[in-house]
This record gives sequence, structure tokens and C-alpha cells, in this order.
Amino acid sequence: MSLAQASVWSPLTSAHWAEETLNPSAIDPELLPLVQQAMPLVMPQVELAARRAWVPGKMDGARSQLSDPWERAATDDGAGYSRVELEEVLTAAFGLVLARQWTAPPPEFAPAGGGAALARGDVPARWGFGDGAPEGPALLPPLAGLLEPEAASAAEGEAAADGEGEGNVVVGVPPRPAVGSLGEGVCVRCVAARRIERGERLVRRA
Amino acid sequence: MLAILTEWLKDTTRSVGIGSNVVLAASGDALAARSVEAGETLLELRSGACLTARAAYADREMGRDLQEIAAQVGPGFDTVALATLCAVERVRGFEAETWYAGSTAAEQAAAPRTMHKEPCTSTASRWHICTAHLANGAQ
Repeated sequence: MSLAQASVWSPLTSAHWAEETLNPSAIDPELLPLVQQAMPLVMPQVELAARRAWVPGKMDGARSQLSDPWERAATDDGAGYSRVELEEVLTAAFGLVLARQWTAPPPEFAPAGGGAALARGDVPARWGFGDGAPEGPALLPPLAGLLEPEAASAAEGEAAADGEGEGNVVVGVPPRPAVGSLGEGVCVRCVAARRIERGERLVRRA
Repeated sequence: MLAILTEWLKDTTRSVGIGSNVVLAASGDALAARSVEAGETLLELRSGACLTARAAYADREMGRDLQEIAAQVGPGFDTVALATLCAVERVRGFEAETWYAGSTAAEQAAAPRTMHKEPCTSTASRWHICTAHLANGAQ
């Protein structure tokens, strides 16, 4: 009887890893020393997780029951993850996060502006107006063009400039309503910036 | 992969608008599921779809250790915590054990922990923390 189940965040993390496997992110050389400084701090946690995840027999070379090709290759010696393999995973994870994270929430929508108008001013501290709203950098579902962070969408924008013009969706954080709590718990709202036809690709307006 | 992500996002604790307003193409692009006017909300993401360092700090296996490191390192550690969570998800095969001290983070970490006097499965040890029972509301 298997006691394992998909983890709570696995649909999001595995989707990011799938894209990362296809298009590996390079770590900015300026950030590389910081990454190298951080890795030894958290490597024990990764090693511990790898040890606990190790299942004898299941991860055993030719008899491997693993469906993930990467995982099968990493454990094909029947001895689990080596230190080098774990360092590769952790380095790739830093590359993934540094390339795909939103370092801060997008701007708030204007309280009285209505529609797709964004407020001018500071970037909100939290992902939402609730006191318990998440804060800090975040990974959002990888919806190409719509929920990619600035750096990724800059390249996207260059491509879009040729054919699709500027984005058609404004992405922002809902403001605290004057009355009530409508929108509490919402981290990000995507609002049409103009009329959008069915089937049209949704692209975030920078 | 995309189908799993779509189904996951359809949960209203994670988002509102997937399927009805927005569909995901095989390329990963988001497409309008219907025609909309300017100012209409297409998609709302809720905290269940916004992965922050909070999930890493709530991880039942490594969260406490990460919190201690974060307290020593100070601001800026959230990105490291996120990267650690991504790496750990990878080596766990994106799975979490249903009963032992491992991984499912946000939902279960928010729930109070209950110790069982007797094992509730053949493989569970005595005094284990049974998150599966907590999720079902059983004592």
C-alpha cells in the first residue's frame, strides 16, 4: 500500500520544473556568489528529504518503477541521489526561482478607478489586502505571457511587438474596499484592458 | 501536465475564472474562453495558487529548520526558501507521505496536530501525527 500522494503544491512546482527542464535558466553571474553562499545553508534539508524519499527497490536501476526520466536517471545506480546530483538539483532550483519568481506583488488596482486602472504609488507589500495575505517573492502558475514576471515578459513583449501589439490584460492586486471585504483572499486579479475576443491569447500589459 | 495544472487551478481556493473565462492551450498560453469587454475580470488567483516562502516555512519536514536559518540570515532569505522547497519537491518526486512528517505544507501545517495513541495503519508507528485523519476530521 502506497502512503504517498501528490503534494499540495506539486501541480505548480512540477509545471515549473517541466518548463525548466525544456528551457534551463541561467543564473545571473552577479548572483552566483550569493547562490553558492546559500547552498550549504540549505543542502542538509535537501539531503534529508532525498534520504526520506528514497525507496529501496522502487529506485533501483533497471527495476526502477519511477516514471520520471530525470528521477530514474538520477537513481539508476540503485544508491539514491549522490551529493553531486543533489547539488545539481538545488542549483537548478535556484535558477528556476530566480528566473520565474515575482520578486514583489504587481501594483494595486485603483480603488475608485474601476476596471483595469492601476493605482500609482508604491508596490503593495502583500499579495492581497488581507492582514494574512502572503508576502515576499512568489511563484505563480506558469501561464505564458500572462503571469510571467517582468524579466520573462520583457522578451515576450519584444516578440509581441511584431504582431500582437501591447498586452490586453492588466494584472494587479485588488485594493481594500471602502466597505466590506469583497476580494479578500485574492492575490492577483487579471482584468481585460480592452475588448478581447474568444480564443485570443491573453498577454499582460507591462 | 497542463491538464493537472488546470484541474488544480479550478479549485476555488486557488483561482476563479479558469475554464469559464480562461483556458490553457497546449503551448502553456492562456486564451480567452469567451469574448469579454474592457474592465471585466478574467481571472483571480487566490493564496492557494500563490507559492511563497510561507509554504517552505510550513513544510512539516524542513520548515522549522528553514525558519531558524531565516531568522539568522535575515531579509532576502525568502528566495532561498522558495528554491529549497522547489528542490525538495523535485527529490520527493512531487509527492508527500500521507502520514509521516513530510511535506504537504500549507493546508496541513495550518491544522492543529493531534497525536494518536494507537497506530491507525499497519505501517504507522505509535504516537505518530496522523494528518490524513486530521484532514478528514477524525480523532
